[in-house]
Parts: sequence; structure tokens; C-alpha cells
Amino acid sequence: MNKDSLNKILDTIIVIFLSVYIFFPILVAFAFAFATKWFPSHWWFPQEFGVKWFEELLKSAPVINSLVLSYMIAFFVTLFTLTISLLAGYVLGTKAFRESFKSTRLIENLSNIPLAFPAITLGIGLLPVYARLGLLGTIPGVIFAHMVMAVPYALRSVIGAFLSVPEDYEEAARNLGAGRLYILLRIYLPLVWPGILAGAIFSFTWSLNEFVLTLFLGYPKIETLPVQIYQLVGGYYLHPQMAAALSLFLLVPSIILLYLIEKASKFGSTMAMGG
Amino acid sequence: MKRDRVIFVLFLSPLIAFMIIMVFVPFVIALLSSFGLTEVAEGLTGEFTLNGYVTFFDPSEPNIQCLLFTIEVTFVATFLSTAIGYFLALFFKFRDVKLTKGISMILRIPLFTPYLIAAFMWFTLLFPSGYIGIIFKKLIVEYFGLMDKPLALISDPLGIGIIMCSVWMRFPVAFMIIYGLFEMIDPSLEEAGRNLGAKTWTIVRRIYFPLTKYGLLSAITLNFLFLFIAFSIPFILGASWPQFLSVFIYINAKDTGNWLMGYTTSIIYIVISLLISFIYTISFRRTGQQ
Repeated sequence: MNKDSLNKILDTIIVIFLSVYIFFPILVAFAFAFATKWFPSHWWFPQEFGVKWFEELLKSAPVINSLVLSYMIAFFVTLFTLTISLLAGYVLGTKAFRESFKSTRLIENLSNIPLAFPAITLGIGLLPVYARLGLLGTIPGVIFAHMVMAVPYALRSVIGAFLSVPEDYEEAARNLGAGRLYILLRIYLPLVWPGILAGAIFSFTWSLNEFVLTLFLGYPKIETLPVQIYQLVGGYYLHPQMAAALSLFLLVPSIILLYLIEKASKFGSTMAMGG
Repeated sequence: MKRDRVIFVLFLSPLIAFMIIMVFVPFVIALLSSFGLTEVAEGLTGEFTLNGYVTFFDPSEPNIQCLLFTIEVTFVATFLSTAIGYFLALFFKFRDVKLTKGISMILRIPLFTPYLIAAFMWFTLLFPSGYIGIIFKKLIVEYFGLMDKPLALISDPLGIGIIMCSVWMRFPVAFMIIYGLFEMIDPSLEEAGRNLGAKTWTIVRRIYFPLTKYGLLSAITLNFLFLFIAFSIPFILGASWPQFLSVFIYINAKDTGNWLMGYTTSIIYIVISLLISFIYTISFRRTGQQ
């Protein structure tokens, strides 16, 4: 065997090892979710597969409630986050406003600050605010808490989209007599929608996976899917199979949605969700 | 111009109002409470005190130990994840292996995985009945006889579980930053080096490393920050003692009701996190300039 062939084999081994390293934890989670018989004496592979744990989950009223609640909260987080980000993204991302108002950069930078904050410190600071406003353990309270991290991500994405529109388009439209609203609706929106979509997916995925602030400000009245998973793996009783089955309700949509952002848009940066 | 100003203020007001209520006010409350200047929770009297900070930095108290444990674990995880990312970038750059779309996609999977789910997946691998837990026991204890009983891989005082999960989650970030920078380096520099007889290692040391050092610093600080402020991973995989700083704040506030320490630790935590972000911003700018 010559040196080239040996090198090729070595390279292939490294790539296979890398793939196994990445996929192994995910495959084990799937194995736990679908294994219905797995004896300790035959620990290397389950003896029987099925959907028993999914059936158990779907029979459980708290799980169904948390499933509905998680997706409902994520929907409202996305809606409110996009409203704030679209309005702010328009004035922070268009050249006319950036040139006229020097404070745009400062506001943009300040809006990113929550990303550097440990989520738990925001939770402990928000606790008295929520207690005063009556938001502790309420759905609106959890929605606002999720938005704290969703807004900076979505805003970055929307600003990036507005900045990518060539400035001549707006100038040409203005010269032809178009008003500001017309330019926003007919020039910008058709061009910035991938950035808005990326922001929407980010917000939705972030909210779906948010754990810290929900645990701090919503639990025990509000139980989302991550809180349910935590109870099955770190709470009072341990049930890795049920936790694995439940975790697939978060893992699969997260991977698909974030993959779609990568494919559809250049405005999003990829990162894991939920602190 | 006046109309522009009205639009500017009107469109930004929801963002500013939201940030003030949800970020600025909680931060001010936490800051004042850390000096005892509010009465928002039990144990806070509204009178100025430095007790929280004095206690935090007292070596005999657990607080500083939590900070040091957090820094140690984060440092080890950052070092390993960045080293793996760097060597992987070198591998794809210098070996005859193409970074295909498929491999690139596979490498991004840990980035798409939510923290809590990643922590849970590693829990199923590392707990005593998990694959790695069993293999570790069979090899180290039963086969080689290096230990009397297996080392705990989760809920352990060394933070092994936290480190293993964090490295899996963050090495692709280091890889993507560094590989991206490698691809931007002018190939004629490498060609010139090779024509002068330089070996691959010399080219890496004399050309690639100096030209990517700020990118490397960006990757290190970015990974350090993300792990330093993480909650789910240490919450699921960490031990009851020593605790990660984020978990320590949660336990102090929610379980033991020591709000003064909870707020003091939060402020110290925020200050360190902002310092790391500042270093990241500087290194990121330098990378751009380079």
C-alpha cells in the first residue's frame, strides 16, 4: 500500500470519527425514545423498538398542555418580536436614517447587550418587576421574558436585511415621487423578507427552547416543554426514555427550522438556543 | 427633517421602552439590591451595605469557589473546543479532503441543538447506565483495573460532564471562524513559503497562525462567553457542589432565599460577562482590520 492510499484511509477515518462524534449523542437520544425493551445485560443495543413512550406522553394531560402552551407562547413571542424589530430595523437599517441620526449605531449596540447577559441575572432582576406588575407565573410574563433574548437576534437579522438593499433603489423611488410608506411597502419589504423570515424563525425557535427564564419567572404555574423535560431528567423522578421522546419535539423542529434559516437567508448567524 | 425625527422616535419607541423595562430596570434593581439599597426581597433592608461583596470575595465562603470553578470549567471546555476546531480547520485546509456541503451541514448540527437537549443527550451517554458510563466502567475499572470504582462523569466535582457537552456544542464555532479565515488568506503566501522549502508545520506557524491570531482570539472569547453564561448544561450535568455560578444564583435566590448574595453574584457575573464581550468585540474588529 503506497503513502497516498494510507493518507486517504487516514483522512476517511478522521471524517468518519468526526461524524460519529457529532451524531452519537443524537442517535442515543433517538434510541432512548424508541427503545421499549433494553435489558442491562444487553446494554449495547435495545432489544425492542416501538412508540410506547410517545403514546405515554400523548396520554399525559400536563405534557399535552405544555406542548400546546410552548407552541402558543412561541407564536406570540415571534409576533411581538417581529413587530418591534421591523419598526426599529427600518430606521436603524436604512441609509437615510443612519446618516441623519448619529445615535443609530449606539441604539443598535445597546440592543445587543442582553446577548452578553447571563439569562439567570436577567431573571433575578426581573423578579421584583414582575411581582410588582403581577406578571409572575403568567403567560404574558413568560412571553415578555422570552422576547428579551429574541428581540436582539431578530433585530440583527432585520437590520442586516435592510442594510443589504442598495441605497439607489430608495433614491430612485423618491425621485419618482414615491412616499416613505410606499417605499417601505413596495421597495423594502419585498427585498427584506428573507431577513424578516430568519428573525421570525430565530424568535420562534428561541422561545420554544427557552428554559432559564421560564423556570425562574413562570414555573410552577407555567410549564413549557423544556421545563417538562427538566422534570423528567433533573427533577424528582428520573425517566430518560420519556425525556428523550419529549426532547425530540424540540430537537427535530429546531434543527429543521435553523437549517432553513441557513439555506434561505444570509442574515442569520447560527447558534444554539435556550441558554 | 422634522417628519423624519417623528418617524425615528415613533418607530424606535417600542424597542427602547421594551429594553428599558425588561433589561435596564432589572439591571438597576439588581445593582441597587447588591448594595442592599432596595426592599424588593426578603433580607434586603433598604440600607447601604457592602456585606454581599465582602462575603462574595471571602475565601472561606462558597461564592468565590463557585466563581473559580465556573472559570476553570469554562476555561478547560473553551481550550478543548477551540483546539479541536483549530486542528479540524488545519485538517480540512492541508489534507486532500474537501469540505463538502454534507460535512459542513453535519458540523453545524451541534450549533442547531438547544442547550437543554444537548445537556440531556450527554446525560444519557454519561450517566452510569449510559454508553460512555458503561464503557468507562468496563475499561478503566474491570479491564485495566486503574480504579476501584468508576469516576462519576455527571454530577461530578470536576465538571467532566459539563466539559464534554460544552466541547461538543462549541467546537464547530471555532472551526467555522478559523476555517473561514484560512480560506481568506492569499494562497500565494503559502506558495512562496513552499518554494522557499518551508514544511507544512512552518507554514502554519509562520503564515497561517499570525494571520489568524485575532480570529482565534474571537473564537476563544466567543466560546468562553457562551459557556460562562450557560445555565442548562451545568444545571443538568453539574454537581450539587461545587456549583456553576449561574446555578449558584438560582439556588441562592429560589431555594435558600439569600437574595443579597443572589443579587451581588449577579452583578459580578454581569461585569465579567461584559468584560469578555468587550474583548470579543475588540478581537472581532481586529480580525476585520487584518
